[in-house]
Amino acid sequence: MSIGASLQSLIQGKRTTALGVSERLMLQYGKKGDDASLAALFDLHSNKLFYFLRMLSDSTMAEDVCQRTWIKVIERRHLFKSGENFQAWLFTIARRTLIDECRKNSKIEYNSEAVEALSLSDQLKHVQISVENDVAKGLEKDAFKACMQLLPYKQKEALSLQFEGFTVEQIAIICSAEKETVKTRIRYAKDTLKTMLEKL
Amino acid sequence: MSLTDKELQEAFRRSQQVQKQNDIMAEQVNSKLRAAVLAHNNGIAKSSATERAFTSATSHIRAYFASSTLRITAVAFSLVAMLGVYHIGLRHEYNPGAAHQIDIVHYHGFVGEDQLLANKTGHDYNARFNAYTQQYIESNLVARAVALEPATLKAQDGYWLLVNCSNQQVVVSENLIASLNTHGRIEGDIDIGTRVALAFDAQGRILAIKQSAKALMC
Repeated sequence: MSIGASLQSLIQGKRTTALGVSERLMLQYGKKGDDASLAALFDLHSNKLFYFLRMLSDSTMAEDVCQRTWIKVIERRHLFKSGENFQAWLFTIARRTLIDECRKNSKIEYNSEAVEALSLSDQLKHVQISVENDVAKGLEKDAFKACMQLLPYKQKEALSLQFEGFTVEQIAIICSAEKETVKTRIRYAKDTLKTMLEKL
Repeated sequence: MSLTDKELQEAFRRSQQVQKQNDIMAEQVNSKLRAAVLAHNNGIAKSSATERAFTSATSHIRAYFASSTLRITAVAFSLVAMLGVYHIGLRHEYNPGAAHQIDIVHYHGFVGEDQLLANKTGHDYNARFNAYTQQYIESNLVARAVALEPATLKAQDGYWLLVNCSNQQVVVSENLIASLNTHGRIEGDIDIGTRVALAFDAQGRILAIKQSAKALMC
């Protein structure tokens, strides 16, 4: 074997070992279209995806968009390339599907300004009521979720993605925004969230 | 002392766990979704296998009918067969009496009313219950709609039965209607057949029901 060929196989070997579990499963699924790989991918990512979508919409829409997203994964499996991050690819599809769904139904009017116009004490009262509502329904308290839901949509989206482990670069690609814009959204979101949680 | 980014991250994870515990339906939804996704995948695999079988059969037939006379006869026969299939297809497509199938019912009512509503409306569909408290209705702070959905009032028997654009039923309990009415959250002269706009909050709870002046787009 020539030196060039050995080097190439070495590099290719490294690239294969550098691939994550999800990426390897997706590449395998892209080739074979087998149930086992798809089921494994679903089990690894469906909860995170559902939680992300639920944070940005309601349960019913999150469920619908989740299903549509996985169907798109099936239909576009040949488009996934080696070297791509599967979770980022999945969340990009999900985000676009959610936006399309909202536009199609002329349904969601994200009223960020209205939320931003609330004073801190109003926001805290809002959180308190939401938490008490959950308790009245026999659910466990979740003040964090109540605070997150008060954040403006784009800030909530960027921060949720960062909490899911995405880098600023990946969030910028997923949200089709500038890196600096994403950083600013995350900073504002964290500041607001910290203030609310500390005052509770 | 100010919260650190790491503490925020941990709070997020804890919240995810609480959500999982709180949402008794989530597991059910997840397994239903999983089954649907895998079924779709199987459907695609079967159709591509059929496609492959069809392609190979076509190539065999093509080789068999190599002579020009047979080729012309085969083309003519195919055309006649295609026209026949097309007409059958047309006949099947035109079905004005087809009923809309409703498979999801959203119940809206006060905590504890779910069974009552389900019994009253007597449906055995995929039901989702949205629970309200009196305090929630009375609060002005939460009256911020994030979603508007067109619907039509189909029946009134104390409770209201509405059908939305996705052909899903929305059942609102009598008590909730009365409470929304008391707090001025039902606007217009709403009767059976009236198109309305349902305003929802971020949790999917109804904040207001208004008569639509103009037809809302589905």
